[in-house]
Amino acid sequence: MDLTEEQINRYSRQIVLKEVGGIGQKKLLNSKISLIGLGALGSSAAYYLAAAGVGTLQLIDFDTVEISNLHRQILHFTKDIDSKKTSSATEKLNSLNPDCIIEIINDRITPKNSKKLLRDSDFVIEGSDNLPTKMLINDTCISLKIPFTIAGVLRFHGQIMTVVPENKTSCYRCVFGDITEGDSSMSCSQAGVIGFVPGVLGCLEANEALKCLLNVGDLLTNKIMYVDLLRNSFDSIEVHRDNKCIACGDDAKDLVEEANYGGLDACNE
Amino acid sequence: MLAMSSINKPYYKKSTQLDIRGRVCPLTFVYTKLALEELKKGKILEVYLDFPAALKNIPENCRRQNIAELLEIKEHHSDRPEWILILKKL
Repeated sequence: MDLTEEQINRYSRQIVLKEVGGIGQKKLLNSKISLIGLGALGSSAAYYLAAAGVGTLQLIDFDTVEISNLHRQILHFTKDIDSKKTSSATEKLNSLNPDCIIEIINDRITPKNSKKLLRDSDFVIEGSDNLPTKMLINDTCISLKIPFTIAGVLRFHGQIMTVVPENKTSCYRCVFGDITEGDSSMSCSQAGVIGFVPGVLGCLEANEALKCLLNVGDLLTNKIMYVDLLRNSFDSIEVHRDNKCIACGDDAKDLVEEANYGGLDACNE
Repeated sequence: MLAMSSINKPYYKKSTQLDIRGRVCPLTFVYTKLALEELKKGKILEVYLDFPAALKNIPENCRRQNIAELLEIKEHHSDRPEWILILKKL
C-alpha cells in the first residue's frame, strides 16, 4: 500500500518523526483499535487516534448522550442529546478523517460478547466508568493476548496502566485484586470530575496505543501513572505481576466465562 | 528550471531520483524520507530540489535520524537556483 499525496500531507508532521515515518504510518492505517466507552476518556482518545490515521476504530457503547456529559465528553455536542453515543461519535470522526473506518457496536460489552467483539483488535482502550467492565476487559484481553490500556478518573485526578499479556506484564487484577463491586459514591456522577482530566488521560491512552502499535518508546507497563491536575503531578508507581493473580498468574484460568462481573453477566439477555 | 533530460540522467550509477522541486519544508524531508525507506542500505538517492532551506534541513534531519549520509550537493545555475542532494542510505 502506497500513501497517497493527500495522506502524505495529512500525516506529514508525524511521518517526519523518526518513530513514525512512512512505514509506521502504513502500520497505523492497517491497524484496528477498539474503544470501550465513548465518554470522556473515549472522546479524546478517539479524536486523536482517528486524526493519527489509525485505519479502523471499533467503538463500543450502549449509551445515549445526556446534557450532563457535555462538559467533558467532547465527541458529543448539544444537538446530540438523546442520540446514541456511537452515532454522534461516528459523525465527528468521519468528518475529522475519512481514512479512518468507524465500526460501531451499540451494545454493552459483557462476558458473553467480549471475546467475539475484541478478537481482531490490535489494541484495546478501556474507557468505561465502572470497575466490572474494567475487570472484564482485563480478563478478555489477557485471554486473547491483546495489549490494552485502562484509565480511570475522578475529581481532579486519574490513573492509567498498560498491560501487554504476551510479555506477562502486571495486569489490572495484579494491582486491584478481585474487585467487581464499585463503590457508587466514588462515581463521576456523585464525586464529580473536571473535564480536562479525562481529556488528558484519554490522550495518554491514545499515546500508549500508538507507541505499542509502532513498537517505540516506553509503555506504562508494570507501573501505574497517577495524574493530579490540581497539583500538576504525574507520578509513576512501580507495580509487579502477581504470580498468583487469578487473571494472569502462573495457574490462572480463563476468567471470562467464570468470574463475577457484578451484574454485567446478566446483560444482553 | 532543471531540464528534464538532466533529471533523467543520474549522476550516480544505479541511483534513484526524487524530484521535489516546488515543494517546501517540511514536505521536502517527508518525501525524501519516504523515498529512502524504499531503498536498501548503501543505495544512492539523488534529490532534485529548489527550496533553499531544504539544503540544510534534509541532510540535518537525515543525520539526526541516522537514515542517510550526505555525499555531495550539486548546484545548477539556471533562471533560479536548483540543487541535487546526493544521499547514501544508512
